[in-house]
Amino acid sequence: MSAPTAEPATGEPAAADPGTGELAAALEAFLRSRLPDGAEPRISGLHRSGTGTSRENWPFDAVWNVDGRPVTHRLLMRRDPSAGVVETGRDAEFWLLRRLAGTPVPVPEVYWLDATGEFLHRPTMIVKRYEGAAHRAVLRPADPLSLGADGQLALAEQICEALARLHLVDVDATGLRDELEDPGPNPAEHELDRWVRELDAQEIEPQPALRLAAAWLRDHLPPPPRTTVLVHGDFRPANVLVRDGRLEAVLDWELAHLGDPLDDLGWYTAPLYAKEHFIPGRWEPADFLRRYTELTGFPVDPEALRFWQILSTFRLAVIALTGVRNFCEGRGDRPAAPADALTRRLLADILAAEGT
Amino acid sequence: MRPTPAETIAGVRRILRDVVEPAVASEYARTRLREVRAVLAQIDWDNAALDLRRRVAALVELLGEVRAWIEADPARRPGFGDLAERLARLPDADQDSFAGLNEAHATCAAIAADLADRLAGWARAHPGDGDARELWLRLARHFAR
Repeated sequence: MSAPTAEPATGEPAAADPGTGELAAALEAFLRSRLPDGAEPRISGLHRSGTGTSRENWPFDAVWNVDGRPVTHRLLMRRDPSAGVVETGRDAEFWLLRRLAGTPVPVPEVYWLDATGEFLHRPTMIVKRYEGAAHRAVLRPADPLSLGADGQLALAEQICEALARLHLVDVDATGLRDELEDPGPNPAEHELDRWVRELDAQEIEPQPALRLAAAWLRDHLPPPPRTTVLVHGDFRPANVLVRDGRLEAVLDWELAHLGDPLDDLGWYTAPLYAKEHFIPGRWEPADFLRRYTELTGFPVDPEALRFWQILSTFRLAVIALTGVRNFCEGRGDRPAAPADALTRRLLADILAAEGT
Repeated sequence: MRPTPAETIAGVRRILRDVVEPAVASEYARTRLREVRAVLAQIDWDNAALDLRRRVAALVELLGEVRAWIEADPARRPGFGDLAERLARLPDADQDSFAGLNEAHATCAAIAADLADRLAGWARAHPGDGDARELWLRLARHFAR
């Protein structure tokens, strides 16, 4: 990734969201603590964007002196929410992105970390803000980013290529193996245990459907992969920044972990997301998997993939229950309805796998 | 009864969309407002209590079948611990308040969740028990509906 874009200062006034003024002052103090003497940072346009589920996103511009001349930097403050739907290590995403900066994986450039929230009240990192847009329906017929049919197909292939590049990252050479939790002898069991623990912690009423699903998953663990890779954990078109029709960066790394490459493939190819992740007749799951194997050399065992697809839906249901808990307990600001439709879908997928 | 609960919610959603949303300056608040409208649309407000009653009644019936299955073979009862006793004390689906129905549902769901774990353990220990697999599939079909 390139250095921050130098632009003329715009001098926009800060938005008037409640609490924004105080946060802007804290942010300015934080930048002052991280920049050389004489930089004199000033920020403008700080506001909370509508995006971000597990992190708050606050775009802003910052002007500071570089070689005696004021230069504007487009930045984004990513802050832990007051109540998130996934609990991740506070600084894990920051150090992960630092490690990936020298690899072929297109990741956002990260600048600074307030790991404890000492300056910004909650754990926060500052990253470069890129031009472009991310949209979960980017591959759907509505074509919200106006890519055209051929442009959508080209982007779909780039998304596959980005995942292949990610899974080919050398986790030893980059230091990621030392940084991230060891998934043990079987990443599938490790992930299942993790999300069952999360279910134990988050359910506010008993969830027999999810207990049935967990038992089924336990009885259908796939064998360990030949290679442990860096798994994004939420790899999908919604987390891909697109600029001028091309994939600019892969976003939202808070669920990244070491594991089985089929973990990301199961999430991406889960039937639940087929309409968003593929293009009927032009880019089907079989096209995606064939291209992925061409690029990585990693074979895809259909039975193991089915386990990961079902675990993906299980994981999504648990995340939805976390949102339900936050809502019912008056924490956070995201509304939530019962997650029944997801659990019904999960059981239907299991029954289909059982051939009934 | 007019407006019905569903009519009330539909009207509130319309006002949020046509009156409130255009006046909200914050991008973040507008996004949350759209989510609020979407969540309000996900509930069948007129039939929420009736649907819950149907679910409790169906679950009570299913758990009754499970009790009969456990008691059909004396070897099974020890494998299911106190579940047989709990299955003998299932709540009534004929409750006169939503809170009562919700409590009955939670009681049945707790028993069913416990059953899911114990049945999986039983099936692993008794792979030749085809009836256990049939019961598991019956449970899965119930919760897939």
